[in-house]
Amino acid sequence: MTIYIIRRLLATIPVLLIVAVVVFSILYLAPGDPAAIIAGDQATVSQVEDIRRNLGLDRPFHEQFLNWLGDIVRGDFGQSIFSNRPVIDLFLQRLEPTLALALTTTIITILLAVPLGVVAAWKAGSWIDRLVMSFAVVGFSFPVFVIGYILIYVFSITLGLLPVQGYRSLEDGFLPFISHLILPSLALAMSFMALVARITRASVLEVLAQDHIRTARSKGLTTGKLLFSHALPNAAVPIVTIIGVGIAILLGGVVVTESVFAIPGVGRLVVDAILARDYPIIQGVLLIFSGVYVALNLLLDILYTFLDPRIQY
Amino acid sequence: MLASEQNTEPKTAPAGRDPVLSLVELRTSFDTFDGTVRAVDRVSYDIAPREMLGLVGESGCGKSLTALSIMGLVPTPPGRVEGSIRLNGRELVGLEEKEMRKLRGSEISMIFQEPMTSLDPVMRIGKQIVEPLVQHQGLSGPEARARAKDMLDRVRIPEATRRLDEYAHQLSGGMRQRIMIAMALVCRPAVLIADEPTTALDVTIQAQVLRLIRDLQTEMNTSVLLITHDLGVIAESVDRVIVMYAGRKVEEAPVSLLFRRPQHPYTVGLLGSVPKVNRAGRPAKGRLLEIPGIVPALNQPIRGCRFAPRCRLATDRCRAEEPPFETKAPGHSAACWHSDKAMEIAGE
Amino acid sequence: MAVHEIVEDDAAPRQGQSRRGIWRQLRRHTTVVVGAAILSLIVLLTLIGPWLAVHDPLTIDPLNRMAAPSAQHIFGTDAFGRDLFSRTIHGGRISLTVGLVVGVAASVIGLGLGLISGYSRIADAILMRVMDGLMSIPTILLAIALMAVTRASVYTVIFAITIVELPRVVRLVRSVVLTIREQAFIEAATISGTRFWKVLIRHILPNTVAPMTVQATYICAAAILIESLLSFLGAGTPPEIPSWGNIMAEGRSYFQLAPWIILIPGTVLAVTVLAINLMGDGLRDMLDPRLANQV
Ligand SMILES: Nc1ncnc2c1ncn2[C@@H]1O[C@H](COP(=O)(O)OP(=O)(O)OP(=O)(O)O)[C@@H](O)[C@H]1O
Ligand code: SF4
Ligand SMILES: [Mg+2]
Repeated sequence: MTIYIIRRLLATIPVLLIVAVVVFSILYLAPGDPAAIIAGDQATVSQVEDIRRNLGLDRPFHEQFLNWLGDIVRGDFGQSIFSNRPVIDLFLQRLEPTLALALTTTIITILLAVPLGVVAAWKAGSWIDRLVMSFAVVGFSFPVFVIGYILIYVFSITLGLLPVQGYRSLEDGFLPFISHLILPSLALAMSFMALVARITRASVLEVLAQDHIRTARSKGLTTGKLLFSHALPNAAVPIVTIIGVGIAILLGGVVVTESVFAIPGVGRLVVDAILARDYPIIQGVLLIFSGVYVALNLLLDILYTFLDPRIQY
Repeated sequence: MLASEQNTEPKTAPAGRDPVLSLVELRTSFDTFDGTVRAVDRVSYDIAPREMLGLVGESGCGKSLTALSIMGLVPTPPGRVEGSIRLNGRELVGLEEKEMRKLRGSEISMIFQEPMTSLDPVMRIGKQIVEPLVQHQGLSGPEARARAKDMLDRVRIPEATRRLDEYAHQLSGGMRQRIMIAMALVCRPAVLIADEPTTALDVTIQAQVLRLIRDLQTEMNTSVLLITHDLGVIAESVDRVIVMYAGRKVEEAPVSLLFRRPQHPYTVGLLGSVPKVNRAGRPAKGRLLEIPGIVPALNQPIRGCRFAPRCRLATDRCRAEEPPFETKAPGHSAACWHSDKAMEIAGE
Repeated sequence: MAVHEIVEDDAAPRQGQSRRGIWRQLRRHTTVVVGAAILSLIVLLTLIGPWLAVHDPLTIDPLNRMAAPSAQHIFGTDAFGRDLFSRTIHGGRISLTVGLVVGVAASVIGLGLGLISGYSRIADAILMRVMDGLMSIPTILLAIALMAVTRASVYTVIFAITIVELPRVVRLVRSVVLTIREQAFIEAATISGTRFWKVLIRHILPNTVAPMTVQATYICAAAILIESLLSFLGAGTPPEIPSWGNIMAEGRSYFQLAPWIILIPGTVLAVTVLAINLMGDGLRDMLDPRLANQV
């Protein structure tokens, strides 16, 4: 087991390296001269050259890449071109709202989508099933920001139940915190839920046709137990896998959602960086998010052993 | 039709004992696009307390569906179960699912043919055995666990305590079938239905499992309905036999009479297709299909005797009128116009 | 619910099977038919739009700013008084083009890379690592990064979305090639030169067509969504082009006053994507029932 974990850990290194190469090359190839941008409009040619040399921008690609990578490994993600502050600081400063949003979204998704998928499978072919599956297709077709605006329109503008935008830290109390998070989380959860509900239904449906379910029924178990202690645990591996896949949707969706709901998180940081062409920030966030994605999926992989005793490493 | 009138069937359960389970005119049918498939057609029989009743017949003749009907596990719709099933006098047909659920696993249990797949692969053995206790008797914790361990001892699984924490994939087929038996009997049900419990097992293991079922039956005062393809298994284990053909009961007799003097050509055919000495090895699956001819489609009304297309004794009468199920000898009944000649085709 | 495994015996008459089959086909077809119908309607609208829409999508009408939907402007007007119906129809051309081109481009390039990957072990090792890497970067972020470093134009949007959608196709094609390679009729060792091309044309292409058609449909839907997200964030199609994402992006500041600027094009977009997804689902069920539970 430990050996397996170590092997899997090692296996993520090449993936992360490729991510680093991709991210670095994208921005290396970017048009525009970072040195000139940093130097500003008033700078002379020699000032720009100085900056270029200081930043190592005159070196060949692989040298620049290795330097950059070395810095990253040491936790130095470079500095924002505009604010001159370390990217990692800016990132950490914006982390809390993003983390809160991602967590509530994941919780909402799992708590709603999994039971919905299970019930749809149990009542396969019924109107409940059709409703859940229609929701899954529809939820997957709306862009997250349109869902966000629809929610704002209904719950904030028309009904006046929830705040339109913004973010409150948990320190300001739970109610303001959660009331600001509900709509963005729901908007962000929609496509995630569609994905999870759909896979849950399919895998539970498959399990329900298995012999051991008939055994469980012959024991006189209640439907609830049948579904949630037998069918669902047997369907857990594909569900967990799809949750892992969905994390990518989540991490990407955060950027858009924060933008719609004016949440001062990492996503907003990225959007502002794009508009300002602040490449180090884009690079940094891209790397960190990819790292998080890879790490979470590694965790889920390890989780499989606990979900299915037949899986042995 | 006349048939149902003629089918006032003699009760063949040993006299003086009220049956534990009693089927009267059980019909299980499926509504399909091709009409109604009558998979079990007006079948009646009783099981006495502590009796082991055998149910034999070719593949597809409705044995499993009879069992599932008793368990209330036929999916409805598309299925439909009619007639009467009485468990200790209580009617099960039309019983609410909630009530039926209380009986399943406590009053009446079932074990299945496929021990490899019939256990939940991701739940510990112990938890699976305990489940009926938790559900029906409200037991929990160490008490339930002790009962589970006791059951494992009874089904002769060594190192029971350790096995409780194992998973199905860590056990052999024979062990899994023992676990199934333990699970089915943990609440001491009145009736145990065993649907081909040994078909998937090695010959040596088969004998052990059968002996175990027989021993536990005596030990726990359970009645057993043993469904099988295998007349060898029947000969060794059961008290009485029901022979089914194409959804109908065609013969019913104490086991010794059935083997010595079968009254139905189909039974004769079945017996003929079994190797003389069962010890040499059980007949291969599908061996019973060696009786030539076609089984009638179950989605159309059948005229006359349904075995006629395959019967060497068939006459015009057979093809026109359904033979009544009637007593041919004490305790021995069959549905055949020419049962007196049935033995003639044996050995040919 | 399936308590008892329902075995269809040989005894079951043929006739019924086909009758049931037709039923099933019909039900599958309904998804495709509904999807195709909606999509055709939208495509038709975008094509004949210029004749339908009485207003020019770019003409500013300062006196009619943010007019609510009415008989005159059935979708209302935007912050500059431009007719939203005309703009939405015009935007449809851009969004649909992006979707179509990305779907085709990702399929063609993915097919090529997938074949190379299935053909050469070395190329496979490298390509798969790169695809793993690409897939580890959340789609939208990668597209944003790609857009951030290129000059915004419809072409760069198509390029960026194609890149992010590519890995899925490559993997799909590769897996088909590998399974076919493992099958008896091809001994992996003997694959070379002309023989490879024969195998490719006779076995690999026919086997990839079905899953790739389905995949391309989904990619087309995803591309339309991503284009709108990028434009919405200001990192997509140049703002002067009225793509759906851009129309909505412009409506952001006025959402409380004129919610229709976002909600109406947003719904049109969602219905379009929905129609394409429905077609994808239907096609998947029709072409390969085994795929039904995947993706
Ligand atoms: N859902 C269903 N719809 C239509 N017909 C069905 C359905 N389920 C079972 N049947 C039919 O009922 C008949 C009896 O099936 P059953 O499983 O009881 O046979 P069996 O005697 O147990 O056979 P085996 O020895 O193979 O287990 C079969 O011919 C089958 O085609
Ligand atoms: S009734 Fe006739 S056809 Fe039927 S089993 Fe008896 S002899 Fe054969
Ligand atoms: Mg059976």
